[in-house]
Amino acid sequence: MFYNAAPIPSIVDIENRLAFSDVDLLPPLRVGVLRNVTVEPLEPYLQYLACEMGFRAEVTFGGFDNFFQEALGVVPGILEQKLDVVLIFTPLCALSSMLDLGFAALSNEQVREECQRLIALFGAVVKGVRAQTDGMILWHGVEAPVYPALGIQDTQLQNGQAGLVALLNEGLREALVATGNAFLVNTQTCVERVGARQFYDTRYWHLARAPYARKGLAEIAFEDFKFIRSLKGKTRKCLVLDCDNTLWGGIVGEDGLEGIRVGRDHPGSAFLEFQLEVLSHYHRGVIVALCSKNNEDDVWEVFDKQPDMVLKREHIAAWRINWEDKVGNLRALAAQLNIGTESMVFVDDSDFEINLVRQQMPEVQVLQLPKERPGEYRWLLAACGAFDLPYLTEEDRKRGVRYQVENTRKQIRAEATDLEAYCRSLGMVLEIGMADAFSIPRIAQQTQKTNQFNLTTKRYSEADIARFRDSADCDVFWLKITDKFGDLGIVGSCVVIYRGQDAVIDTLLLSCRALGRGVEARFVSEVMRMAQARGARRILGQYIPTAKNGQVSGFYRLLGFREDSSLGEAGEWSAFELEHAPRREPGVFASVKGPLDA
Amino acid sequence: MRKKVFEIVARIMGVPVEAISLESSPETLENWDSLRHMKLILAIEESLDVQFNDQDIVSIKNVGDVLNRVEAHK
Repeated sequence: MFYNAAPIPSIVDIENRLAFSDVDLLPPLRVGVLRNVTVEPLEPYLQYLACEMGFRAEVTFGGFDNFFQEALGVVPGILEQKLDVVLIFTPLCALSSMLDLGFAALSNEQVREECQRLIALFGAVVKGVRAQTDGMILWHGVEAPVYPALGIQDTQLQNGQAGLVALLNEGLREALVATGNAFLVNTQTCVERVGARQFYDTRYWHLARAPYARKGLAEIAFEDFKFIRSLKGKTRKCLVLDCDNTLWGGIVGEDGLEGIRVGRDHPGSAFLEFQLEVLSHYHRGVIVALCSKNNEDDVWEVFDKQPDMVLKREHIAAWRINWEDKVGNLRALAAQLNIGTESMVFVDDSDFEINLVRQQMPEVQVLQLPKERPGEYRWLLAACGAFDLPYLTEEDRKRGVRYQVENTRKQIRAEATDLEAYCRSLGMVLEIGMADAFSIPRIAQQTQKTNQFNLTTKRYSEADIARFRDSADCDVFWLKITDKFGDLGIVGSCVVIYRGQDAVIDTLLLSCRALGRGVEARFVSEVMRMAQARGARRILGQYIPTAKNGQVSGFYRLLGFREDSSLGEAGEWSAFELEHAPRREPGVFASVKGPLDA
Repeated sequence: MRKKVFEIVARIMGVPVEAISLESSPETLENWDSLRHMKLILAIEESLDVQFNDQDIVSIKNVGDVLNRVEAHK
C-alpha cells in the first residue's frame, strides 16, 4: 500500500464520501462474492474503487458454509442474479486444514491425494460458476504459508508446503484459463506488498473466520480493480511524462546537458530505473508522451546526446515541449493521439502542475513524484495499476511502434492538401475476415476499449464473442489494414445477428487510428455483401448515444440508411435495403479482400 | 474523543450523530449486527489509531464500552 499511487482512504472517509456523493446516479457494478471465509469488510473498498471508476458497486456475499454447493449450483444463491464480476476466496486455512496446519504429519501420498482432490474441485467450481453466470471470474490464488510447516527444511524440498501451494495455484490457473473471462488473482503478491503481519488479522480469524486485516483487504480490492477496469473499458492508455526531475534529476535548461543526473550510479540510477519502468510500460503497449516546460531543443539534445538515456526518441509517440500551460498541452496531445483525456496518466514532480491538472482535468489520473525521494519513482509507476490488462494482444505489443509510425503518417497528411490523394498515397490494403480463435481476444478487447467510433458501445468478453461466432444466426467480422508504413493489425470489429430477412448490426466499431481514411463505409459494404450472400434483404443499424460517441451519431444516415424508430427500442434505428448495396470499386485503396473473396 | 467516537459510530451505523448516546447498542440501533460490529471496530482502530485485543472486541456491548476501551488504549 505504501507505494500505491492513489492510496485508499480510511473506512470512515469512504463512508463519508459515499454518503455525500451522488453514487445512486451511477450505473451499477454487480459484484458477487463466493467464499468460505468472512470477507465482508472488503465491501467499502470495492464501493470506493467502483465509485472512482464511475460505478456504484452492488456487492452480494454468498453463503459462508455452502460455498461449494452454491458454486456448483446445487443450492440457490447469489449466482442466480445477473453479475458483472464474481470474486472467489478460498484461502488454504479454510480450504484444507490438513494441508495447512496439519501438513507436517502427512505422508507424500496423502499430500498428493489431497492436492488432486482440490484441483479437481477447482475445475468443477469454475465450470459450475461459468454455467450460472457470464460475469468475469476473479479467483484469489492460494497464499503460501507465512511460516511453512516444515520450517527452513520446506524450501529444500520439492514437495514441501510452499511447493504444494504453487501446485494448487497452477491447477487453479489451468482451470481458469480453460474458461473465458476468468482470471487468477495473485493474492501472494498482495501479501508481500503489505507484509504478512499487516495483511492478516489473527483476532478476527478466531472471532469470525475473517482472515484479512484492513490493509490486506484494501490491497486485494485494489488488485481486483485492475481486472474490473479492463472489463469496463476504463484501463488507461497513455503515460504523459514531465522531463526535469522526472526523467532525469535536475533542470536541463539550468544545469545543462552535463549537469543533469541519469546513469548507472547514484544519484542518476534512480532516474535510470524509472526510465526502465517507463520502457516496460511501452513494451506492454502503453503510449508514452512528453509534456514539459522547456526549450524543445534542450530536451531533444538530452535524448540524442546523454549516453545513459534508455528512453529514446523512438519511444515517444507525441510531445508538447513549450512554455504553454500543461492543461492545454494535455488536450492537444489527446487530440493528436486520437484518445480521450480520460485515457491519460500525467506524471510530474511539481505541486503546481499536478494541482492544475487535478483541478481542471479531473478525468486525467495524476501521479506526483516526490522529488526528494527519486528512488520511489519506479515503484510509484509500477504500483498505479492504471494500465493493467489481464492479457496482452499482439496489437498491444506493437502499439508503441504504431503510434510512432502514425506520427509520420500525420506529417505526410499535413503536407498532402487533398485527403483523397493522401489516402491513395498510403497504399492501403484492406482485409475483412470472420472471427477465429486468433482474432477473438482482440475483437473482445476492442469492444471493451473503444469509446469514440462505436455505434452501440456493447462490451463483450472473449466468451461472448466466441458464442456469437459459434451461433448459426451470427457473423463476427474483423477489419485489418496494412499500408506502406506497416501493419495496423485488427482495427475494426462488427457483430451481425440475422433475424429472418433482416441482418441487424449489433456492434460496429473502429479503432481511432483507422479513422479519416475512408475505411468505415467500405467495412460496412463488405458486411452488407456477406448479409446478402446469407439471404438477408435488409440491414438494420442502431446508434446508442454515449458521452463519447457523438462523432458517429449520423453515421448510418451518411451511408444512406433510413431512420425508422419502429425497428427497435433503445437508441436510434435505421434500415438499408440490400438490393441497393454499393458496387465494389477499389476507391482509394490499393486492394480490398472481403470474407467472400477466395 | 467522545465526539469523534460518536461520529464514527453514526457513520458506520448509517444514522445521524444526534441519534447516538453512550447507551447506543445492538439493541437500540437496528443496523448494529455482528458484521457492522466488525466494521465499527476496524474503523475505530483505523481512525483513532488504537489496536484492540480479542477481549476488548467481545466485551464491547455499547458505545460507552467503545469509548472506554479507546481511552484505555490511548
